[in-house]
Amino acid sequence: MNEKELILKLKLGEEPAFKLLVQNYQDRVYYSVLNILQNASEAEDTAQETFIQVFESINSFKEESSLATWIYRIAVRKALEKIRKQKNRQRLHSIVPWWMPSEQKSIDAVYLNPGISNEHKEKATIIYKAIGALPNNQRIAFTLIRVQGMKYEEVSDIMQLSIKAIESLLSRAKENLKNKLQNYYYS
Amino acid sequence: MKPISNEQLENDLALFSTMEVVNAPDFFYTRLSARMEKDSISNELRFTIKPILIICALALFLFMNSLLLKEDTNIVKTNPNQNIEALAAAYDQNISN
Repeated sequence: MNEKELILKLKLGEEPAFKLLVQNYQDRVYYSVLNILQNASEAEDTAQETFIQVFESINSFKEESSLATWIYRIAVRKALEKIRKQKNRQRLHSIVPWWMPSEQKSIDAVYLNPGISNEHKEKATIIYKAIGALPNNQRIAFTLIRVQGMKYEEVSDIMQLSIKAIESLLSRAKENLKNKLQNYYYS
Repeated sequence: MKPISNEQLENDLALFSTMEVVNAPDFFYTRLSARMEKDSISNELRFTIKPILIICALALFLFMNSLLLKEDTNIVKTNPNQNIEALAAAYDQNISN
């Protein structure tokens, strides 16, 4: 089944088409949000929310971009919402520590991508922590391009920014990372 | 302390090129469809319960209103002299002409 047929069947609300769509994109969406959110359970939750949103708003999909780009765009937006909520919770926790005691766990949590080999685990943990501390747009652009290996054009379509803007985000992200990682090298 | 060099950063980031792709957890679609079903049931329930709750609240409001109105008419119906007489009797006074 080609993409046009799949979209048509999705618009008709056919469940097998939706199942096929999920099976085709679940790994890519999950891997992207996992790298952005750095938390397996939140990544699964966000991936699910992405597909629910796809199912609910497929009729508003105007086919101006590819289906994959549209799905990624939703996934990135959902991941951003999660990051914002997480930051708000952490901010509230720093003001009123007794209000949400479980939040301390998420602040202290150390993320390690399961795809990283044992020899690189220590370094990867530090780099992920530094990436997690980047401003949201830099974090997303950097993760999609440098961690996941996407092309600039793809990320530009997903983030709805020009390639120049993506390049600028990436360069600023690298500068920030260099500053953040100096503590690791010189401590 | 000076920031690390571009070379050092690139060396560090090279570890991502050897990273294995992580797939979605097993039974992802099963869990997703269960969640969608649960969401649709709770949505349906919400849309069913909402009018029922509104009607109940309206009925309660009308009932309380009718009770108050009934009480009001009862007060109006009682002879106004009765109240004055009762007050006078309490103070051992006589109000008859």
